[in-house]
Amino acid sequence: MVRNLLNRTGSLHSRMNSAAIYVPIAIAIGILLPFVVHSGYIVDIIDDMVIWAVLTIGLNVVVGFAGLLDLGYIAFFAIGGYTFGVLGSHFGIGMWISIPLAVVLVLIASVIIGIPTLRLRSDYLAIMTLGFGEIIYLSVNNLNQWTGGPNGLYNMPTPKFFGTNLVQPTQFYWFLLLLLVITVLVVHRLRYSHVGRAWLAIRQDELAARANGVQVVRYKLYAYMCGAFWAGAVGVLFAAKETIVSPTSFQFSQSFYVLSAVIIGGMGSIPGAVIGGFLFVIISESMQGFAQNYSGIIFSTALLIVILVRPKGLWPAALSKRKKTSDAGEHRGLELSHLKKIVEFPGGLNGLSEGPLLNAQNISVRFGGVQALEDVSLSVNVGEIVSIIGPNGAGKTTLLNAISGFIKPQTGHVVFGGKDLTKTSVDYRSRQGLARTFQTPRLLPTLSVQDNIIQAAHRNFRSSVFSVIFGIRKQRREEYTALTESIELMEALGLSEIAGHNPTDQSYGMQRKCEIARCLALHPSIILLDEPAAGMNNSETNELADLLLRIRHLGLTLVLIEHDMSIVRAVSDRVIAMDRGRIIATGDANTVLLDENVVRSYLGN
Amino acid sequence: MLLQELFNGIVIGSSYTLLALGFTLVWGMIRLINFAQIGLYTLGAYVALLLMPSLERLFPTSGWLSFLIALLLSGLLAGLAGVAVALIAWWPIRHAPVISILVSSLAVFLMIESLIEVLVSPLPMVVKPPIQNQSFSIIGTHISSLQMVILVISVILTFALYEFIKYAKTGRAIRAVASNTNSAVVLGINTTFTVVLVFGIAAALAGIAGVLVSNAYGVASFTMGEIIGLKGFTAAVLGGMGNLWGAVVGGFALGILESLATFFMPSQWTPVVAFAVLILVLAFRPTGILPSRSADRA
Repeated sequence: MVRNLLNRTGSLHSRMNSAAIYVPIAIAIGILLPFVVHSGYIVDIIDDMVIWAVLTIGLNVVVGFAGLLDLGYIAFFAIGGYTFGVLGSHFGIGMWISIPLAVVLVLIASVIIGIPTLRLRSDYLAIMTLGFGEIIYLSVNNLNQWTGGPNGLYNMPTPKFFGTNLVQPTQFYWFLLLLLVITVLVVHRLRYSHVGRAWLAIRQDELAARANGVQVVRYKLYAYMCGAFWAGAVGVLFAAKETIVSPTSFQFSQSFYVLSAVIIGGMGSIPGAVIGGFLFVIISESMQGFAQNYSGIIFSTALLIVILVRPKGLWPAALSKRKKTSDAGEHRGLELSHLKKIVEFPGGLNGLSEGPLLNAQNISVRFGGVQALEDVSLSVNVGEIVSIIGPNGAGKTTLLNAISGFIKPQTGHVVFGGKDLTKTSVDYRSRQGLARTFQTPRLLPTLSVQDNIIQAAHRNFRSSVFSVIFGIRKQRREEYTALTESIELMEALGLSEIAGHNPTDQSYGMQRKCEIARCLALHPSIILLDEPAAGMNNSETNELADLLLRIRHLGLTLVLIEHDMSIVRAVSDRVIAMDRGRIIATGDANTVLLDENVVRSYLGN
Repeated sequence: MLLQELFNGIVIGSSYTLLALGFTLVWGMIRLINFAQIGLYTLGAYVALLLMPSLERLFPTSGWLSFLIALLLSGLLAGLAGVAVALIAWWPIRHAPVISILVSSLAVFLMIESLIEVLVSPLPMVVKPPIQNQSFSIIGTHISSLQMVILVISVILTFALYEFIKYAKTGRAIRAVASNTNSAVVLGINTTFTVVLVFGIAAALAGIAGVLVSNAYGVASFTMGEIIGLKGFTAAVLGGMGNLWGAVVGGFALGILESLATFFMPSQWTPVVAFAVLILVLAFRPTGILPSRSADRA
């Protein structure tokens, strides 16, 4: 009965199996704890553990999911604490009003820091956030008239809850526990949505993420803001519980400790983050008896050991198991032609039924002293399979990169479906329906094969971050559609067996197929394939040729770079031969392959 | 007054330059922001601080001699520690994602800080300038002999480094690895050795900068590297990461800017200058204010 119910929720099903056991136990322990533990001192430590767990989960979104190194995370915690401190002690504003105000402040701060930095290499963020942390620390230390300087603030009004004063650690415990549960829930929802998959894609391979249509900078900013949000919110509760805010709680070393907790717990793992946060408080509390503070040595050593020996942490983030829908059985033995409804073309653009779909005009690319492409023009009609051949260094991949936006040509235009895309980004072109594979497959090892495919469906998700958090119906439907499509695609391409596996562990042939499945999930109108048969054996190559013809049969257009002439002969409507950055012959396969210039380009004179 | 601040800025900027050179060198080689270097800066300062009393007892007549020996030993020790850092925290995980390497170098930085906190002192310590430190005055500007020594040492080191990178065989190897690691391997250059060496050089520069700055301010604390690390990095970014002359220009420019800023704000707020510069440069010209020329890159 319960199983059926879970089954119906589709994507939740497989994760529930393990989570269904641990989560209720953890919540039960959490609720029972204050009835068992009577020492106020211990409950206070438990409060700290919960606070640190929230902080660690928040930073885990930034570092673990999106791969952004934030070294000033504690600054957001400080802004939260001091929002209540300043408003409370100067204006008598209470804790409950301070929480939303603090959240607004940290979100503004994260946007100000994030926007200039997040478009650069991710390590610039590390130093920028380090600076931000120091500036906030400096400010609270020196703005004496507002922050009380080194002494801090302690005249905040006692928070009330329906007339009761909140003073005991146990009273705060309930609110902190609630906050922790909400944090876990929201972060979990985000992680297992298109937002979370986009984050993981960015962390692993920004280029692949762009190729799958992810607006990288925007999603990085979401992650950074999400992290700031939790730190700001819990900062207010922290200040209220401690009844004092002073700069010592917000030193650089504190940022470092949260980061250690994330990495020691396991980057990208929510239970890992909770454990990491708990561990930090337990260890630093057990240091209280010593004359010296050994936490720094212990944590830096532990961090170094974890990075060197067990980089995935104590509780590593796991790949999702193969996910099914309740009616998946009906799809057994699907033919790819049944996927037609998947690749139905989105509005307007692909309403084209004939004529040129892609037009690359007069493309020239120069790398330093090398003219990689010289005035190359290429036009591809709807429903065509065009192969590009040529010796190594002919400029084939460069042309493909110029079309998909990975490099900016010095001259020329790329027109796709009647739109000039020359000045647009990779992810924009991908969202327009221009999909590509890579010469070396760029699959994401942190996602299962199935999640790789679902991630690539990114552009089909219209719902916002908020609809993900609140799990509104439209968002669940989108998730369900992507899931169903991934199952159909895996069935059709023979990937079902490896659905829950790490794609980068698979054979070359399988990886190529994953990449094609990923392209199809994007609902493209054209797919650019860079040497899809490289590394495949004969039977795999034949299978690939068959697959390409079936994909074309769905109404898709294909451009293929290939060295394997058997597949070029088998599938191409038209063959274009390139040499030294120029097109030297074009026509049907037999004409071009026998062309004197083409033969010479391969064999020399 | 203006001249005085300008001069102070140049002196402190020369130390930023040393740090920025280290950042930019390692960045040029392996695209890593080497946080460990900030820890080695602190280490350098403390080595000199702890050695000075015994050295001054050994050479009671010449304070400058003890200072120079302490400086040399600090640089040497920090350099060796830098090599150790490269072998322990970089080499085993050199193929890991960038974030892992960043975190491991950060862990080393914090480890050095906490070791100093526990083994030496959690409180700030007074750094006595070498005896015979006199100050003289040129056109209304007070210049102490310590300031002159700091400036001269920084400038000598900067030029020595530049000559080494430009003309020495190993220096050319460094440039080769920086411009293209794979081609460097094909040319028979031992890239691991080269990178480890660069870690060492950067660390030695940082250690020496630590001694100079702690003497200039007369104080050392185990957290002294945090703000200065930000400044050194800002200087490197200001001139363009990977660009040696950029680090020099960035270092002096930041030092001067900061000193001039003391006209407008109390001196404890000067880190805001570095941070503001960092934000502005990253927002508007992330490649640095200098046009980058491949010949000067390392």
